[in-house]
Amino acid sequence: MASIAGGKKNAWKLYIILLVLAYIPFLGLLLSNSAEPRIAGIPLVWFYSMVWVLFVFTLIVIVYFIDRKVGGIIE
Amino acid sequence: MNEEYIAISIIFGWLALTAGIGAILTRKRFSKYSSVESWFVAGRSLGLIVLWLSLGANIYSAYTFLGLPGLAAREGVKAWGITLYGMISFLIGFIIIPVIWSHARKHRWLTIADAFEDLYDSKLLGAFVAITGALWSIPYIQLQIQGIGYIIEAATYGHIDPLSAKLLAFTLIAVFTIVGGLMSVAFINMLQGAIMLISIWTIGILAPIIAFGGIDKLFNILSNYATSQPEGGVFRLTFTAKDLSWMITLIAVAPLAFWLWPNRVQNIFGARDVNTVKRNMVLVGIYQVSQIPAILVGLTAIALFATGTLSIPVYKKPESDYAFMLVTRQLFPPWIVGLVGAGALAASISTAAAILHVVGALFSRNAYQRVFKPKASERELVMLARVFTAIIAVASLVLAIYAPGILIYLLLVGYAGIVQFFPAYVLGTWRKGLLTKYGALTGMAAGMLTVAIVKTFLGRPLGFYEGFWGLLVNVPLALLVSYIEKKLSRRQG
Repeated sequence: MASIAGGKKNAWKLYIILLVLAYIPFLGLLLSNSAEPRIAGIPLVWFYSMVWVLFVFTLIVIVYFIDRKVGGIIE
Repeated sequence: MNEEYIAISIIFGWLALTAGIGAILTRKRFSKYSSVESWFVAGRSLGLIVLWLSLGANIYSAYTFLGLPGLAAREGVKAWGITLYGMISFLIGFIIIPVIWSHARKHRWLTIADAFEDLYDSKLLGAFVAITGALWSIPYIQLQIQGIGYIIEAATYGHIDPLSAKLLAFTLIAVFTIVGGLMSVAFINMLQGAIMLISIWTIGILAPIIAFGGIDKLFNILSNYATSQPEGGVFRLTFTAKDLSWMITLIAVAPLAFWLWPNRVQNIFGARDVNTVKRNMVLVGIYQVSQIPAILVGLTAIALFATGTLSIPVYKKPESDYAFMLVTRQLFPPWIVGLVGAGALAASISTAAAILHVVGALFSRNAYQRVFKPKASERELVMLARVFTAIIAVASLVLAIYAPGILIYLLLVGYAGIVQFFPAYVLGTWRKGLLTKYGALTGMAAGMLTVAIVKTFLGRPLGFYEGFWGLLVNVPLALLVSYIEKKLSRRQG
């Protein structure tokens, strides 16, 4: 019982970390805010923004699998 | 047959088909339709596929089909702010929605106003949330009316004027709202979801290839256009300092409001179980990825204008919001214009209908019944919900005609208002007792007033999103008033 409660608590912490991770790329945006170079014909900042969107989607998938493993964060 | 007849026949044929199926299903399967519970949450019986497609079509409407390509065509790189806040909303949703759902189940909440009423033990607070939730939904409905109008105008190749198109849009929304409650809307939404996904990916990927031979050539044209755009053009390939201020405040604030829209709360409360809700967060994220091809369509539109292929100035408002339909019309045959128009139009109608259902229900149940007439009959409540729904719909139509706005910004104003519920909701759930009912009420009211003032008179100071300014006033004031209220009650006690 205690280990389930501990697992749920850790899951919460992990969710918060993943949420923070979703915002971290904003710092990189300041550095990549340029039309050059182009990647696959796409300006750098556009490519970076697109990857950021896909990165957050990946985080959602990760959260989903963590959630399945710990059996959810609600009783 | 003329091209406008082909497109418009497909659009209205599809609408008639979905309305017919919806009406038949509603009659056969949901005979207890006048019951308040089924009007509100369709008996908590939505399954995974229906809920997923319904939620997707409910979230993505004229906003994604027209608004996002419009913003990309007009302002370029800023469109990423919209896609990002949406995606982050799903991550936040995954974390908080199971908790919201669990509380709703436990306390038998049907609406967001029920939640506030219960959390703060205040009917007044419930009524406030019901009424302001309805009022902030007006821009959301307005954008659907404008969007549907644009689709009709474009699909008829200009044969229907803007005013008639908006009036027709309003009529369609009214008919679909009257036809049924959430279940029929969910069924129609499910069909829209499929059409929408296929058309947005097909048009988004093919348009730049057909028009220019590839994405690299598209950006070559855009690079030239960005440095020599016509007067009034605000298209950018990179962010300015103000854009970055807007973007960081938008992606920090708007996701907090995403799941507090009255119609989305209803979708969550209507889910069968929490696992369905969680799986949906992942699955609906796929819709959010679909905003990437929508951005490409907007870019194709402005590049077509830059090369002189498109004569309509899509860098201006409101022409920018026609970008998706103009590109489809320019590059694809009329039957595709019809199919895309049908998907976008029906998704917009069902979104507007879903919002209207909820705002009417909120008013009748959480304002009228709770505050004014506790013994009101179910029949009276349903009737009043419909009257209030009509008032909100007409107000949205009037604004769509006399004060049309850029589609994306219309919704963002709504978000800025709705997000003012967030601090009181979260603190009421997780830190019960920190905010008092008057603290919560004062904070939300002041935050909403701030949003209105910033939007109307101040024009986004420092580039910060309106909702951010609202929260800056909301949270400290809510805490201060709560502190004073608790201190006074201790003295009196």
